[in-house]
Amino acid sequence: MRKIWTLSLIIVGFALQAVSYLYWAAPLGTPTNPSFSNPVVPFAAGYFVLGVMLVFISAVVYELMPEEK
Amino acid sequence: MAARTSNGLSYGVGRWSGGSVAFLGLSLMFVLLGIYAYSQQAIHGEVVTGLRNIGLMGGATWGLYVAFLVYFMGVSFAGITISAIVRLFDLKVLKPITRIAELMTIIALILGALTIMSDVGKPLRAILYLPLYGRPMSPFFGTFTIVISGYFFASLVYFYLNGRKDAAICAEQATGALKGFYQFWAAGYKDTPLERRRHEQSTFWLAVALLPLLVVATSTLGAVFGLQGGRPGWHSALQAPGFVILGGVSGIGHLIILAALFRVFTSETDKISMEVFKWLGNILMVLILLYTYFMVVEWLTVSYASSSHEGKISMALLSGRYAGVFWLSVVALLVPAVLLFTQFAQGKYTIGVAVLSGVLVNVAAIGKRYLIVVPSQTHGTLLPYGTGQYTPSWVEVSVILGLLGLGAFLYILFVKVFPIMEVADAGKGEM
Amino acid sequence: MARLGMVINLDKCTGCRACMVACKVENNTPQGSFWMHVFRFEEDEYPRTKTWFMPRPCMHCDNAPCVKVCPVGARFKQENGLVATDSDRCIGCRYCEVACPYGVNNFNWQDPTKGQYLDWRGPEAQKATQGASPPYANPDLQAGYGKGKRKIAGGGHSKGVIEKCTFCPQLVEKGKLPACADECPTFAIQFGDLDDLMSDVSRTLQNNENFRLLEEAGTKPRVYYVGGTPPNSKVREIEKVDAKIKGRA
Repeated sequence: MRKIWTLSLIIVGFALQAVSYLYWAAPLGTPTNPSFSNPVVPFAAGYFVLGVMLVFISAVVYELMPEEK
Repeated sequence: MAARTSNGLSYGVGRWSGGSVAFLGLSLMFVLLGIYAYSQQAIHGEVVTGLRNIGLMGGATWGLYVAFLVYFMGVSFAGITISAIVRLFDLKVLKPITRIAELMTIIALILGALTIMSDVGKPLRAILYLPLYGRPMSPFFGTFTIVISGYFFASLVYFYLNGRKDAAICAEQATGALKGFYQFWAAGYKDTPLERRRHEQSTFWLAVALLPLLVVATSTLGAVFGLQGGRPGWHSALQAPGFVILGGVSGIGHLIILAALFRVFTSETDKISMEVFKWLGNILMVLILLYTYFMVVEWLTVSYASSSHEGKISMALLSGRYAGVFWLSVVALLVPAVLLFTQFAQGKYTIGVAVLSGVLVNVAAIGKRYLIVVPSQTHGTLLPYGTGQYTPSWVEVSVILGLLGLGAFLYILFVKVFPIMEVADAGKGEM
Repeated sequence: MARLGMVINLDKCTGCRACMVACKVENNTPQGSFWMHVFRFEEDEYPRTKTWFMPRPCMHCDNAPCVKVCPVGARFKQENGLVATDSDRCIGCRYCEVACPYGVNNFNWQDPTKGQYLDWRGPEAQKATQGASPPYANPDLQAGYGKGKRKIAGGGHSKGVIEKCTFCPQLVEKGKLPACADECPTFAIQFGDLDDLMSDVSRTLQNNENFRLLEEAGTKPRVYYVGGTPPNSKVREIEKVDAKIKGRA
């Protein structure tokens, strides 16, 4: 259970980073119109930060979560 | 055994001597100076600084604040890196200073974040808009996301997990207000073999994840400068790795100073032994030599074949307006290299040499950061605007002093509420 | 969509600086902030010296380094080619300023109402100006322009944000010329659609050898120069602008 939680947090964290960086945030590339300056989803950068934090919170979960008897 | 004080806690925790209160008071005075200076800036705008527009105003728009931002980020790099390396390679000799190093990282990152907030024109907007509108294409995106979220948060997690055992010990011994704090930190830690094994595993993987993250984070900061084609002197592939190495140099130097201070204050000459300074001194020596290599390669490239713009900046550094800072930084880097190599070659180490080297390399690092940021703006315009000049004003200097005071204040405050080194119980197997 | 650009004829420029003044009045830029700047160059050594003038607005580059580095998307490229600054979004980090190879950015170092050429806040001045600071304040600058109606026109909006030449969207969107092109007494500054083969700018470019500044930097500027050569390393600026500002309480 503990290991499942840890692994899930890591996977969700990385997935959130990838999605928010590549799809939700402002597009990469040479800017030719205003859409390059706006995120597709607001707070995309915030979600990226959250994704990174989730990956590291998994370590806390791994240590703190009690093992099921 | 850790020296216990009258309340049963180790390393002066909870014990407020006259000296520590005086030091806290002094650092608080600097903090107040910084707050006053910043208030002037908030009221009147950044016109109270020495910063001015590049080109027509003949100034530099990034100055002391940005130089210190980079300096603080660099110092923070070394702390947690040493701690991670100690964990991964089981470097027992440096184990006693890992918490000192980790705390240095965390506080340096706080100072770095506050420095950039002091520099931007609209700090409150920045706090909201960076997560809301942050654009990955901008090198700043990497700085504020990976550095703040990744690096800072990861360091906090690492610090927290490494402290649980000592928190549990302190919770047992403490009475009064701090007991609740220790219990919260310990989160029910019981020193069983199972818990210890879990802790070893989690910190191992954290350390493995942290090292590449740190290199990426510090490189992103270098890329802020290195990717700018419009700024001669900045546009270089060497910026990112150079930042990493110089960060290591300044951070290890800082760590040596802190270790020496704690050796005196805790009287733990066994734990913070000569071996610690020997190792740190040797690591510092290698890093200085590595950084010298970077500087020589850079200098050779520029002097052999460079654009007239880069040539103009080089002249300003070698013999022009910035010659004083440049040669001071070079000397402050090479003197420690010579001293450290001499003690390495002779096999006779002293703490004095290590501490002197630590101080000098930090002087050099601050100078070098300043020389990276400013000359490319005053002497590096691609259109013929003429040479500019920049002198930091009292506001900038005071804000920086305030931040340094804050760093000292936070550090001492922490040391007084939590043991700065591991509280080893005799007979228990240690990592 | 129009591909807007500017052509500046260095042969016709007399260095009168009417464009600099027009820009300042139209866009209400504060003290020390010159969006349009006219260089006075001296080239080479006596007896071969030559002096000439070079107006330098923002280049509105197609591969703008300032747009690429803005962390919050306050600096952005419009579809018609104009590079705009959203003063409501700018956080004042000044990264665009250090990234620009042409040095066109101006930061609002102080409150623009205090940073004027005269102190318009005094009671005597207020009687004459009815509170407008500056008295030639342009009301069109408060509106939103472009897609998304963002606050991109004019300068001196608030302290702590950056500004630069905008190619006057408040005029261009109404089909007029930017202030500098409109005021130039010798018609040295032309502005129009580069894709329209019959426009002034296109015809001038077709009929004259032209260059752009710092083409080797890869920025793909939209401002072309005819009737001259790019400034080389022998060129010196001989009328240095003293754009100094001191804080006013």
